[in-house]
Formats: sequence, structure tokens, C-alpha cells
Amino acid sequence: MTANASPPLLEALDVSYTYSGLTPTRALEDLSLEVKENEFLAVLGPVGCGKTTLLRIFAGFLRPTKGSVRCAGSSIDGPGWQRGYVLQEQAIFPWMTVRENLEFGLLAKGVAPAARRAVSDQFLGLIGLSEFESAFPKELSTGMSKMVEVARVLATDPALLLLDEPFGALDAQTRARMQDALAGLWERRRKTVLFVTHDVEEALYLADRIVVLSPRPGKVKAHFAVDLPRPRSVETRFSTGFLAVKRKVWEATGPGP
Amino acid sequence: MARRSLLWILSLAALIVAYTLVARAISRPDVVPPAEDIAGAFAALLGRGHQLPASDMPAHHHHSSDQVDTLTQEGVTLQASLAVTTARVLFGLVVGLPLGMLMGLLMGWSRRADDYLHPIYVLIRSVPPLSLITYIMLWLGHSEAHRLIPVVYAVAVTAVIPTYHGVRDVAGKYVVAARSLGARGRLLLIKILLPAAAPAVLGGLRYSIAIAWMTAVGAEMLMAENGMGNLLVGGGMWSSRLQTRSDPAVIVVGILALAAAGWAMDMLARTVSARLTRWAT
Repeated sequence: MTANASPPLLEALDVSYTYSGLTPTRALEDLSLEVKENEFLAVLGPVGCGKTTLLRIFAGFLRPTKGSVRCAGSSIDGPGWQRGYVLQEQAIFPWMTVRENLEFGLLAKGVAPAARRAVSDQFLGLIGLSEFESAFPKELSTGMSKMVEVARVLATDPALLLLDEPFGALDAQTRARMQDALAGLWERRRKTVLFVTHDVEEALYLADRIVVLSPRPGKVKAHFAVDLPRPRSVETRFSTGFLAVKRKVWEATGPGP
Repeated sequence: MARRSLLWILSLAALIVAYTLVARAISRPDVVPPAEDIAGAFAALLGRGHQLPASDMPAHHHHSSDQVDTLTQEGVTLQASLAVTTARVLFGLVVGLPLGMLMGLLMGWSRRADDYLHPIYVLIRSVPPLSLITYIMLWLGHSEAHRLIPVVYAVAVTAVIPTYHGVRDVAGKYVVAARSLGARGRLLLIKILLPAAAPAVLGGLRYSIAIAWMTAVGAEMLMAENGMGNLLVGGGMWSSRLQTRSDPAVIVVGILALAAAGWAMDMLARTVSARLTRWAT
């Protein structure tokens, strides 16, 4: 692999972010990180370490107080479909059918109905929801709604996927199923992914590389490469390699000095 | 369904019987008119009172009073009065709702617009709609304007807050998701903002309808020669109203008609809301 030679697709350079207000809150401080093309990077950190703030900066909804963020070489100013962002909250559009949700990004891009339909057909198949194409989201489980949100972003063919704890609200079993679904989706349509989570195992199972953030104000505390073979499965979760990295990450995420 | 309509009729009949018994027991026809008086006034106000062949009916069943006579002389009927008031209510809703929603949308969407508009809104919303009547008359004289403007105003002011909260508190995450998918401008407004705010706006619609009826009837009671408010105060303008003795049967008929009209419009609003937000429940 010549991954080291290629320039990063996404980079943050000395980024600080402070929420203004009566008691200003420093969410991020001098944070730098890079995501290479087609890399699956997990950002791991405790609740309230500024993970969501970081994603909102990459998505273009917040401007760093200090430092700079760049995507594909140019500075990020404002949101856009090239950086597909899946929110932590449920944000599937409840007034649209599953198919309309999947096609919304293409509609915004001005893609013709027939072409939109072809893409949504493909994603309905990929996430196994063909039977639910004309159902409203209220008929879906929380996990399936989240998969529609991920697929909805992928349907616009963005350069980059920003996922904010997409499976945080799910029970352990559904969560594992959704992780497999996401891993499957990713292996078939390689994309650069920045995945934010507070779950060590989830990060290990999905990512090529893990960045650990410190508690607020968030900055990079440690890096780990996850050199586990793909496709990953239940076997991966109990392999010695997995457990060895898990121990290292676990120690790094423990209470700091 | 048939069972339910039967229950409806039964409970209505029971209500009439109970009312008749209570009216007998109280025996104060000047404030609690007997049911047959109410029915008589109802018939008279529909314009049928004078058509009843007097010979077939016992004399006391032919309802006549000072107020009924005045109204009949002026050619006032219940259906025409209700039609006029309904028209004013609808005008208030059709003009007032977009105005109120636009203001709520602006305030909910832009923090800066909220900063400028909110204090003004709080100031104007405490002005009772009917207090505008005399001022509007100063500008426009005795016209339809001082019956319609208070209704428009009341509806608009009531529609602001539901829209504001719908946009500000509900739509936020959907707007973020949609903008990340590349949506802007009109697409964002029509496909995201309005549907996201719809349940709140439609919930507010029911309040707007109620307030429109209250304001329209109030404005008519004060300054109008037609509509339900005019019927309630006995027709004519101020000078003649003071000379007309109120007929309790007419007033009860008026109140019942207003209740029925309000109920019907609320039903309609609920049906339309349910249809528009089928996705939500």
C-alpha cells in the first residue's frame, strides 16, 4: 500500500473550538488529525470530549475558533454533499418514505427521476429494505432507520462519510448486527470514513485506525493501527489479535495521568 | 357506525329532556327559556316562523318576541348570519395564517430575525384584537375593515408561536441532515422546513380557528349590522339595540349555532391535519 505517500483527504490542523456564552466552554484544543483516502478512521473518546464538535466542524456547520480544516486540499467553508454527515440523533425524514429518504440527496443534486430510482433500488437492496420502499420511517426499527440514514448519505456518492455514534442508542445485539451491515456496506463501496464512538470494541471491529481523544478540551491522546484481516466477523471479535489491540486501547482510554 | 349515531341521537335527546325538566323546575323563562321557546326561536330565525299555519298550532308555540320581531323586520336569518360570520372567520384564517406563519418562520429560522422581531411580537400580541376597532374606524370609517382586520390580526398573532417552535425546536436536526445532503433554498423550505414544522403548525391551527370565531363574533357585537354577533345583540345599531328587549331563546339559539359551527370547523381542521401528517402517527 502506498497509503503513506498519498495526501490526506481530510485534515485538521491545530483546531481549537470554544463555545461562546456566559461560561465559554473549550470543546477542542490544538487538535490535529488526518484521514487518508479510503481509510476507516474511528475517533474514540469519552462522552463530552468534543467528538460531535469535531464532526460538525468537518461537516461545515461550525468554524474552528483557531486552526484550519481542509478536505481534498481546499478549506472547508459550509456544509455540502461531498462530506456526508450522519447525525447522532435520529434524523431520517419521517414525512418521506424510505425510498424518498434515499433519493433526497440526489433530488438536491438535480438528478433525473429514473437515475434516482436506479440508485435507490440499489441501496434498498444493499440494506435489505426493498419491501419497505414505500413505508414511512415510523414502521422501521431504530437500527434500520439509522442504516437508511447511512445509505441516504452514501447514495449521493460523497468523498467522505462522517458518522456520529450512529449505533449509540441501540441494544448490544442490534448494534452488532448494524456494525456488520455497515462493515459489509463499506467493504463493497470503499469510502473514506470518520466514525465517532465511545465504544472501544465498535471502533476496533470497524476501523483501520483509531484515534483516542482526551476528555474536554479534546485533543489527540493516542493513535492505534488496527491490522485485523477483512472481512471481519464474530471470529474477529474473539481473535487474539483483536484482544491484544483492545488491551492497548483500553489502557490508553483509561483515566489519564 | 350506526350504533354510534344512535348513541349520538339518544344522548342529544336525553340532554333536551334534562334541560326541559331543569327549565320547568327553575321556572325563570327570562333566563332559562323552555325548550319549545328555543325551538320556536330557531324556526323563526330560519325565516320559517311566519309560515306556520297559526290555526294548526297552539298559540304559545308560535314564537314571537321583541328581538325576533326586530331581527325579522331587518330580514336577519340564522343561516345568513352564520354564513357572514363564517366568511369573516375564513377570511381571517386565509389572510392571517400565512402572515403569522411567515413571522414564526423568520423568527424560528434566523437568530437575528428573532432578536429583532421577538420583542415587537411580545408587545403586539398583548393588544386585544377588539381594541383595534375604533382605531381602524378612524382610518377607514364604518366599513368591513374593522370587522376583518381584528380577526386577521388575532389569527396571525396566534399562529406565530407554534410555527416558531416547530421550526426552531423540531426542524433543526432535519435541516442539518438535509444541508449535508446538499439541499438549499426552496427545496430546504418546502421539503424539509415546512413538513418538519407541520405538526406544530397544524396543532396551532385549532387555536387559531377558535380565536377567529371569538374575535369575529365580538367585532360583530360591537360594530356590525350582520353576522352572528349582530343576531345575538338583537340587530340594528347601538341606539335601537338599547330599546330592544333581549329574548333568551334567541341568545341560546345563537350560542348553540356558534358552538356547532366551531365544532364543525375544528373537526374539519383535525381531519385535514390527520391527513397531512399521516406519517407522524
